Amino acid sequence: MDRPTKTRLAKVIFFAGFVACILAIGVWNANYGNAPTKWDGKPYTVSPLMLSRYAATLEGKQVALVVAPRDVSYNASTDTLSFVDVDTTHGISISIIYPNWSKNGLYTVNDIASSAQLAVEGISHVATSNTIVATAVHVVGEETVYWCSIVGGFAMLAVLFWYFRLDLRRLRFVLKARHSQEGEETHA
Amino acid sequence: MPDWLAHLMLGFIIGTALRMPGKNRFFLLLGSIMPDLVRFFGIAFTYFNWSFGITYLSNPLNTSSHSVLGVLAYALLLSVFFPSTLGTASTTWNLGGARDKWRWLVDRPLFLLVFGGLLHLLLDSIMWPYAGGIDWLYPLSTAPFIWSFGLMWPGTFVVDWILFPFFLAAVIVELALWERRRSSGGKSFPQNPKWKSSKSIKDQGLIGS
Repeated sequence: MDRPTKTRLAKVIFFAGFVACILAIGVWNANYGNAPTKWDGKPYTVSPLMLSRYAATLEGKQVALVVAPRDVSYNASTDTLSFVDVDTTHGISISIIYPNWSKNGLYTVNDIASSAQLAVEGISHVATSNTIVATAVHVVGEETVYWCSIVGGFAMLAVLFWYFRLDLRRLRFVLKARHSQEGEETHA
Repeated sequence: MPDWLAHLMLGFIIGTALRMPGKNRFFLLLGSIMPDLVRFFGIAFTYFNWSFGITYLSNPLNTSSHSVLGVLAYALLLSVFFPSTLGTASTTWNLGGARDKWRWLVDRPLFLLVFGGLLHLLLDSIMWPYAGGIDWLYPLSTAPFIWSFGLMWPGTFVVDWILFPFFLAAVIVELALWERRRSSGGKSFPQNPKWKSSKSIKDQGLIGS
């Protein structure tokens, strides 16, 4: 095996080892991780599973919960937006109520309904460990903005690609040629 | 999560400031969105409502890609698919007297990908910690907010509007240089005059004769 191939193999092995460790840590954290303790007056993001497991600890705390909202509904008479997040794997249901919705100033009900992820700051009340009722004090919808930026980002990359006349086929050709040359040198 | 536009604009501005050639700039820009590439898993899993994948796969991958060690790991993987050196360090890098000293480094896709990735982390750290914040030292340390400035909420275009004037200035600079080169050298696209005298790929021995 020549040296460039060994280098590439080492890079791939490093990456694979890193990802394996990360996934192992992720599984351990999700199942046995401790509840966050450093609040510092700022919201801390928790998973539905962690929120359920440490419901008593987290009640009244400022947390950010990443959820995919379902059953989004708006009650005009009370100016309250409500939605539900369900973690099907662990059987957890989280009902979130956002009072004074019309004053949020950022998003419409449709924005929230079409969001795949949603950060909710301020879990103020936890009913039971598996059925959580929370009051949101701040909501950030992500999906719409994120997809806009991804489409815009790819468009910008395409423009730059054209602008600099970068030809990836040439790069690949160089890589192949360099590899074959190094192989020849090794043989020699 | 400043969006991709913000990350790419910052990369472009830095690339213009350092007078990076096109190839180098491409890798810098690729690096500047590299930590977010794994988010496609999260979006797909969320779309299919696969909670297991979100909890055990996409969340750990996303957290790890937004760390120094993760940036290095992902850059190592991506660099496998490209040449180890681009052969453009002697052309347009604006590194002053340090150019010769650092030529071996700034010419490498691996370095540019890591550089772009660190720019990504820096920009992400200005926001309120969304999805756990940016754990720069993950998995060595998971202390929350260690590098978060908490300046603004994600999910808005505030960062884009702040960066846009600088990006516009960078584009104007690039176009002005392009026009100057075109009028003096007759080239129809940005190209440093030194490229004419720089060695071709074949001369550098990258292609066997």
